[in-house]
Amino acid sequence: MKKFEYVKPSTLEEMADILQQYGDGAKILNGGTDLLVRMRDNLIKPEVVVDIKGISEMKKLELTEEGLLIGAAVTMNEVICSNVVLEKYRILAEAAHEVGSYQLRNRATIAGNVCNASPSGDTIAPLYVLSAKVKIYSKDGIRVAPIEDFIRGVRKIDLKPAEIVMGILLPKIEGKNGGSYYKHARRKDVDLATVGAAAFCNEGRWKIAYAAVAPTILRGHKAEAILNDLKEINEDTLVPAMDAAASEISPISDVRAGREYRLDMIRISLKRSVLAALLQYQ
Amino acid sequence: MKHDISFTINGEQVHLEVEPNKTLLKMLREDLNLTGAKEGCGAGECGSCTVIVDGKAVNSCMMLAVEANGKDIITVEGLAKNGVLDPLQETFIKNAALQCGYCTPGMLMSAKALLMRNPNPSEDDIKEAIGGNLCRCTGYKMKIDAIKEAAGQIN
Repeated sequence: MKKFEYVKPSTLEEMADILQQYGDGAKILNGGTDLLVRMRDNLIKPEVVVDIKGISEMKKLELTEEGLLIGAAVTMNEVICSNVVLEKYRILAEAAHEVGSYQLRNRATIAGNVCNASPSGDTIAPLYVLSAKVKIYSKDGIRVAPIEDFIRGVRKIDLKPAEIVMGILLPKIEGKNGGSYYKHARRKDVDLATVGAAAFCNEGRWKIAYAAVAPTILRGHKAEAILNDLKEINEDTLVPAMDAAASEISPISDVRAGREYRLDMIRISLKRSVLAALLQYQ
Repeated sequence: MKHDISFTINGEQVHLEVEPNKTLLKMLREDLNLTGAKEGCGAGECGSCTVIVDGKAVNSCMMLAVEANGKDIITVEGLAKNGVLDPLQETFIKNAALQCGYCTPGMLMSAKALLMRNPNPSEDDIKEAIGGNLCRCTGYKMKIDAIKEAAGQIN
């Protein structure tokens, strides 16, 4: 790794000043599981690395009237073990559990997964179906951006210079609900999704999101429309929704799979995530 | 610019000066001569660099050395106490859970971290704990048996 300066501010204000001063020359260090890989390969060569973990409010995991705030520095394993996540937003715990390995999950964060904005980010698809928002600090104030607006493309997020992601907000869910994330991958651990499907049902209304089949996570509006009209959901009645899933994605062929395989697998992933969501529905 | 850091390693207090662009793995191997942790991939994918930081198994190639400041670190060299092997080390040998030995320090530390947080793990718990540790020699079964046996001994 090329030489750089390391700083660990203790307030958001301090951090914003540093980011302002260095501009593109500064990179935020959180879990480091994406940053260090890219720095080691010299894909990124920052002048200064700013460690966010010295700011105590980044570790907040807090349920309020509005919903759940997952602070930027809360690790994947902390999310997976959280009683409130397991009880109210189980799909996110499921998805976080699919990320990397146990060791990586002790360092990696949901916020980091979002800011990395990979097309196959496992925790991102559930965040779409949960209507998550990103809480952002700047010296001008705090703003909240819906996740689907925040992520603009491959590794592209709507974060202005000297803005800092404080955490992810999950809105309160009223009524009966259930969700599940199905990750189809070559290996059980330490693998990116070949395809993924997140399914969430709230009072009979479905939200579907696909991973690894487009430049960003994709909402499955066609599949949702079909699911919302179904009187009964089973392997047979799901077929039109499965076909819809394949028709509304634009996968590529890459080292993990061919395009045709992804088109086939999204059908199965949609089915499995919907059926699993129903098992959670209460 | 070098940073002064202080931390505990295998029960001993250490003070070092490190450059920010050094990983925890490199610091352990080069500055502290603790060569148990290995650089299998350097990208957080193989687990052969696994150590325990503040009770949690982490890939030391994915941490900066400066982040060790104030932490309590255990490496494979810290498992045996006064020449007495850790139960995990005993059962690994007894169950032929290692061949070339390259994955083994990392594997032991993932297993140690597991038993520290969950003294009575199920087979699924064990597979979850070592899922991030690759082994090319053994096929993993003996490692799972060894970890089960060590857990049984401790209880």
